[in-house]
Amino acid sequence: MLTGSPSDPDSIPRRGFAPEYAIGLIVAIAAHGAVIAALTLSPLGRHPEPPPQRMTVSFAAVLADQSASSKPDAQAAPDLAPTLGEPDHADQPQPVPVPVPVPVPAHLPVPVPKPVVKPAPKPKPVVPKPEPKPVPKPEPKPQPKPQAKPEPKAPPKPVAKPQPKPAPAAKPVDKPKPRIDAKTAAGGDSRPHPDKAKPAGGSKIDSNFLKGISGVTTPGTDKVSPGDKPAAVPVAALVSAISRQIKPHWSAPQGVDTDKIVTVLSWSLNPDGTLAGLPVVVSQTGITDANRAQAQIHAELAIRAVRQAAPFTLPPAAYAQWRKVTAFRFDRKLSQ
Amino acid sequence: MMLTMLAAGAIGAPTRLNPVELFLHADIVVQVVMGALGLASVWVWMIVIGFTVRMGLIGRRCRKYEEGFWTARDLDAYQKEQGTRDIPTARVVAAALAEWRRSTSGKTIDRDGTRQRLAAAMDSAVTEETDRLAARLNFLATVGTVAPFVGLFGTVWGVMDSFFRIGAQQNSSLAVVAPGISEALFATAIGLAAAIPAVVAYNRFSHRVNGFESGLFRFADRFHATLSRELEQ
Repeated sequence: MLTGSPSDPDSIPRRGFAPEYAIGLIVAIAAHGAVIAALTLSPLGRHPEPPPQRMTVSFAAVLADQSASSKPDAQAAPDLAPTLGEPDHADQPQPVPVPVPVPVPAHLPVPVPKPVVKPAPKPKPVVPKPEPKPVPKPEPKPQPKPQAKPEPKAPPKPVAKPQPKPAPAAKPVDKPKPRIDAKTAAGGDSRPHPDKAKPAGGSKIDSNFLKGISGVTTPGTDKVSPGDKPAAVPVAALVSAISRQIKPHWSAPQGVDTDKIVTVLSWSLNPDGTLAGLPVVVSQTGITDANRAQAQIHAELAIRAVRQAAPFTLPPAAYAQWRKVTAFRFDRKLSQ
Repeated sequence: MMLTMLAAGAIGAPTRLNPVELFLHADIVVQVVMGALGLASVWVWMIVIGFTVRMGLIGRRCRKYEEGFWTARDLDAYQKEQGTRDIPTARVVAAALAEWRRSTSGKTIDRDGTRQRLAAAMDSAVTEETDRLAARLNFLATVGTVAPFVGLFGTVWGVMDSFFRIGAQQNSSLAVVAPGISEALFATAIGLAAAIPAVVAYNRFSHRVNGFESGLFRFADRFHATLSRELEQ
C-alpha cells in the first residue's frame, strides 16, 4: 500500500460512522426512552403498599361516664308505712314491703296492711295470712295496685327506708333485692310488693296514713335504679387489662437515658375493641439533652404498640369506661 | 406533631419505583454517575444493533462475492464491478492484486519474494478488515467490566450522603433512611443493566468476528495458492 493502490475500494469511508450504527443509535435511544417511559407510566412500577387511609374523625358525644342520677320523670316510689311483726313466709320475697324506718321493738301481729288491700281482690283481707297469699296474690294483685297506690301513698315518715330494714328481722335480706329489680324493669310505676306485705305484719301507723298522700313523694325515696349503668368494673382492672395487651408490642428505644422518657397517650376505642382514630400523644416527660433524639421514637413506638395491640379485649359491659383511654403511660416499667 | 410527621412521611413516600423521580431526587454525583451509565447503555445498544445489522450485511455480501469470484473469468473486470462496494473480501483481493501487479511489473520476477509479499499483503488486509469490524467491540468489553463498578461508586456515594442526612436530622427512622438508599441503589441497577447486555454481546460478537476472520483467512490462503500457481507459469 505504500504506493497507494489504485484499485483500493476506498470509496467507503473507513473511519466514519457506518450507517448501520446510525440506525442502531436511533433504535437504542428509542428503546431506552420506551423502557423509562414504561417504568414511569405503566403499572409495571410496583405498589409497595397502599398509602395509609385518611383518618376518619368521629366526634364522640360522650366522653364522660353516663349519668348516674335517677330519672327525673320516674315516678316516685310511694312511701310505705313501717310494717310491724313478722311476715309468715320469710322465704317469700314479694310480700314484704317492710320499709320500717323506726326500729320495731317487737313483733306485733297487727293487721295493718289491710288498707292497702282495698283495691286488690278480696281474698287477701281474710285473716289467715299464710294460705291465701301464695295462691291469689301472684296474679291479681300486681295489676290493680299500680293504679291505686301511687297516689294514696305518700307518708312523710320513711326518709331512709333501705337502711333501716336490716333491723327488723331476717326478712330484709331477701326483700331489698326484689324491689330494685321489679322497679327497674317496670319503670317504677308498679308496686306489687306493698300489697303482698299486708298480711305479713302490722304497722304502728294508722291505716289511714298507710295509704299515703297522693301526689306527694318524699325526696330520696325514688326507688328507680339510677341510669342503665352496668356494674362498674374497677378502673384498675381495665388498666391492667390494657397494659397486659399492650406489653407484648411495646419496647422502649435503646439509648442513653431513654428509660427516663415517659410518653402519655390517649386514644379512643370502638365497642369491638378496635381503635377509633389514631392514638394521640398527650404529653412527654423526662426528656433530657441526652435522650432528646429518642423522644420522638419513643412516642412513635408507643403509638405503634397501641396500634398493634388493637383490637383490645375488654369487658363489653364496661364500654363506657374504656371507650376513651385518656392517659396511658408508656415508660420503662411497662416494657418489663 | 408526631402524627403530622408520620402522616407527612407516609404521604411523601413514593408509591412506586419511578426511575425519573429516583434520578431527580438523587445527589448530583449520583446523578452524574447515572447519566453516564445511561449514555453508556445507549451506546452499548447502539453497537449491538449496528453490529448485528452490519455483520449480517457483510456476511451476505462476502458470500455472494466469493461465489462470483471463483467462477469469474476476468478477475480485474470482476473486481472493478464489485470492488466499489463495502466488501472485506473484495478489499483483500484488491490488496493482493495490487501487490501482484507491483511484483510482476519488473523484468525479472522473484517468485519466492512475490509469494511472501502476496501473503503478507493479504494477511495485513485481513487483519485490517477484522480490526475495523471489531473496532467498536472493545467499548462493549469496557462497559461490561467497568459499569458495575461505576454504579457501585454511585451507590456508595448515595449511601454516604443518606447517612450524612440521617446524622443531620438526628432521626434514624426508616422513612428518612430508605429513600436515599433506594436512590443510591438505583445507580448500581443502571450499572448492571448496562453491563450485562454489554458482556453478553461482547462475547457473542467477538466469537462472530473470529469466525469471520478465519473465513477471510481461508479465502486469502486459497487465493494465495491460486496466485502462486499463476507465478509458476
